[in-house]
Amino acid sequence: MKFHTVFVIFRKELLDMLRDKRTLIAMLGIPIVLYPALFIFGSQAAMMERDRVAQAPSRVAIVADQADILEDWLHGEQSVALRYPGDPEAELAAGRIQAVVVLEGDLQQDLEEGRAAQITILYDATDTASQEAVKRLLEAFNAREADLLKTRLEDAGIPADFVNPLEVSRENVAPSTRTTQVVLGMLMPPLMIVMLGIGAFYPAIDLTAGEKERGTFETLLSTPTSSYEILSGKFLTVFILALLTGLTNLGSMVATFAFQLAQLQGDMGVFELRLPISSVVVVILALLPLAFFISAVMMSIAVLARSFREAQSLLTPFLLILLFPSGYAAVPSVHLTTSMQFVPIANFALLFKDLMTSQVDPQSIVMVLLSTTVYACIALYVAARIFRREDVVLSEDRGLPLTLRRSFFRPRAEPTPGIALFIFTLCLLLLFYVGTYAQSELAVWGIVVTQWGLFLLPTLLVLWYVRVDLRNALSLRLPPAGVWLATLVIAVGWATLSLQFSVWQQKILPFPEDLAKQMEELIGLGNQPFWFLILVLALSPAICEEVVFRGAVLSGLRRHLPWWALFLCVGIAFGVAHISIHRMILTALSGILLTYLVWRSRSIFPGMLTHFLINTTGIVLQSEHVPESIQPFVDRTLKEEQGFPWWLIALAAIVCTAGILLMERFRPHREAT
Amino acid sequence: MNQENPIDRDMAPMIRAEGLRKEFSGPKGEPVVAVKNATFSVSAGEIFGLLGPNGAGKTTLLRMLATIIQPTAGQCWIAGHPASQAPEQARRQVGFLSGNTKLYGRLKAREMLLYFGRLYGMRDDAIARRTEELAESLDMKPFMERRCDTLSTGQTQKVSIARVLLHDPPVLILDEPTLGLDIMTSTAILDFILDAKQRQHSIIFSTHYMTEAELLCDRVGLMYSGEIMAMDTKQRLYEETMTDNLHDVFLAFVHRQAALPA
Repeated sequence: MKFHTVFVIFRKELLDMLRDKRTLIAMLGIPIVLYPALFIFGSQAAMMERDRVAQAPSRVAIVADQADILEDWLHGEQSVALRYPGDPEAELAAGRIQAVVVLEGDLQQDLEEGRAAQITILYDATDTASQEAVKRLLEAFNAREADLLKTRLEDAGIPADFVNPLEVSRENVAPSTRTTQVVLGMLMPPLMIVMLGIGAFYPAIDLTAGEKERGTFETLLSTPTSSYEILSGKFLTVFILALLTGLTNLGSMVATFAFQLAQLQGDMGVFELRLPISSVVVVILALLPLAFFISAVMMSIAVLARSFREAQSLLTPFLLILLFPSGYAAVPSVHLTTSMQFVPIANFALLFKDLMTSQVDPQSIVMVLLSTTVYACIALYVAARIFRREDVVLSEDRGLPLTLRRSFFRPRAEPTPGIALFIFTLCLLLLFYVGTYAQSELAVWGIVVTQWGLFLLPTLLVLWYVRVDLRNALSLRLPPAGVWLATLVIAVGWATLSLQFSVWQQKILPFPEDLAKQMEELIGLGNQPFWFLILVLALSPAICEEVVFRGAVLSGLRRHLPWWALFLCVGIAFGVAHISIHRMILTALSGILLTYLVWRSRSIFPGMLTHFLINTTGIVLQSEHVPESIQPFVDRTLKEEQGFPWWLIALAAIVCTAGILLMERFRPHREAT
Repeated sequence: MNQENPIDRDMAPMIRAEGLRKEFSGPKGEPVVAVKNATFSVSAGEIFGLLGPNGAGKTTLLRMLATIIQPTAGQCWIAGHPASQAPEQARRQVGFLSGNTKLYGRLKAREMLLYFGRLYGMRDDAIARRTEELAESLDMKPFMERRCDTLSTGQTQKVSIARVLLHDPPVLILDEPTLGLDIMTSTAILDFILDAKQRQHSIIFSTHYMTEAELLCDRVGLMYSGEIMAMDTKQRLYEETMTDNLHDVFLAFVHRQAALPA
């Protein structure tokens, strides 16, 4: 891909879009004009209405046999004007009076005999003036009630405090900035997300379906540019415009809000706009993958349409769909939980909300950024795939849906990076939404379900469906004997080193006690025989996880990345799949070594064997099957976290290196396979 | 601009098609054959005319040559570059104009040419020089600073022709270049095609206007129902059908085709 060409396309598309009124309205018109207009004129109108209601006296009717007493009470109230209509309730319904006071029973007698008189106020809750009338009447009656109570207590010779045994008062201790942050945290994410969507909306349509409709796509395709360069240039434009729209909106909202606060401060004094700079940085960082994701999804939808209008009707539902997860995040009791970190859109909204009101765990921030980026890459991959189809890009009279028929996929020796990414994401999502539930409900059987049902089965199904040669993709080849020997040596060395790494990690990033307890309970399930634990916790992951990571993911990436990037990517993906940040580092390191073994031996079996031996070592050391002679050593070095002696660490490193040298000596060459 | 041309223009055909076939999916997913087994070549300095009724497959064939779409079977070479394997190199050698290659309405004529020049990897000063030459020869100067969506049909077609010639490609693929134009603009464009032939460009173009084909073409291919029924010089086609114009040649071949058993 030529970046100069991408830049030429991007520059032209940006110029083209900035000459389009619709883009300018979405990007500048709405934020710069609409917000101030809505906020300022809206609040001005509300204040004018409030003043009008406050200055006019409330028209009130009285329905009572002894109306004169009530009239006496209310005559002193300047804000209440008494009226005497024939049908007070009809007048109230018509809005000509604002409240009706209904007195039941004999007021004079009730008061004299020390009973409570029954007074009911009829009002119209939909009318602001009526609400104001009720407020004024309640204030007047409450004042009268206090006088009457005081008289009664004096008559009975009871001190006034007798009826107030508790003096309860309340005081708001929340800092003034916090109130503002709560309000911003709830209101801003949905607005921001929708604004990103609106920012991407017209450019995504105009640069795909619009271009198709205007007949300029073919002109562009006749030039020496690849579909990836065209897509990248166009995507970059949509992304930048979406981001600019989002940021313009953010700036305008904050400015308008700050202006409003400055006006309100005298009245209320509880709002103050001050955000920690770190939160602002994280929000802007999270906006990038979010804008990336929304732009890519919108482009892949828009390119399917044959005309501007059809694209609008396809994209409008998506714009509305964006509202649901962001609206859900605005519910006060909802926060960023582990599972919510992986729900696109909602994760950003919740992260924003939580950042405004509380400290957010760095792991959560990383997960939100990471998952949104992964979704964005998938969306872009889909867009690129659609873009390469001439029947879609050049269709003039009909839009074609993205075909997912199996016959559409051509047989291939290994998965594409997109398929590998899809399998990884699928397994990760299944693990989160089904695996964690299955493990909490079914204990050790939940792990069986996760490994075989959520890792192995979906991977094999996807590879089969997209017509990938399983034998080649999963490296199902028996390696030569020398490779087996090298694998065993490496496994012994690495099993020892990884135990030492876990001790070091425990000192830097201690494993949470409750999680450790859960793990111990799982591994030490007394009801299960030892061999069963080995099958479930060592053999199953060795087969299933290797098929996913060293099979599908590795084969999908191996021709597209240099070796070091390949090891890092597959290793990190393996680490991420272990969910917890406490397990991620160590598993990622093991993942890198396992990737090396499979890549070098061109066979998945050395990976499986090493994975099995590492897991088995862990299970044995946690179990009661450790020989008595070495039990004190294990307790001291691992359980009490003193670590291995240096000579043992050095020996393990030498063994590991020797194993790698052996592997380099015996590895099969390309011709041999 | 044409440094990548790996062959000598005088030695080998600039356009070579072998067994080109294109199938599309019909409304029910059934294959519809738009072009069947098209085999021909065009040399440098030659104008090859493609004649046929609407739906004959001319545009599809030209789109395959321009590497806009991929053939279902067969192969073509543009200035020696295999179009399927090296589409970008092939496109560098081609100027393609069809009814579907429109202009960007919000760009000015000059901006349009600058953009396409850059996409062809030309330097800005070379683009500016070439733009001035083309604006002069195509009489485009009065509207170079106007947005393309404000241009008349004739002006639009002139900008399109300038876009096609900007990078001075050795191969021109023109699909009905004079369709809907007034006689003055048509004449200007036909003159340009003849001038390109003089400068040893290989030109393949389709048209409904038999007089244009008679005026311009060295050889003619007659397409009907996706097949090239006949292909030869005009003179030989006249002799074979015992006629003296392409209109009658075409009808003779269509009748001959219809008489063949299915």
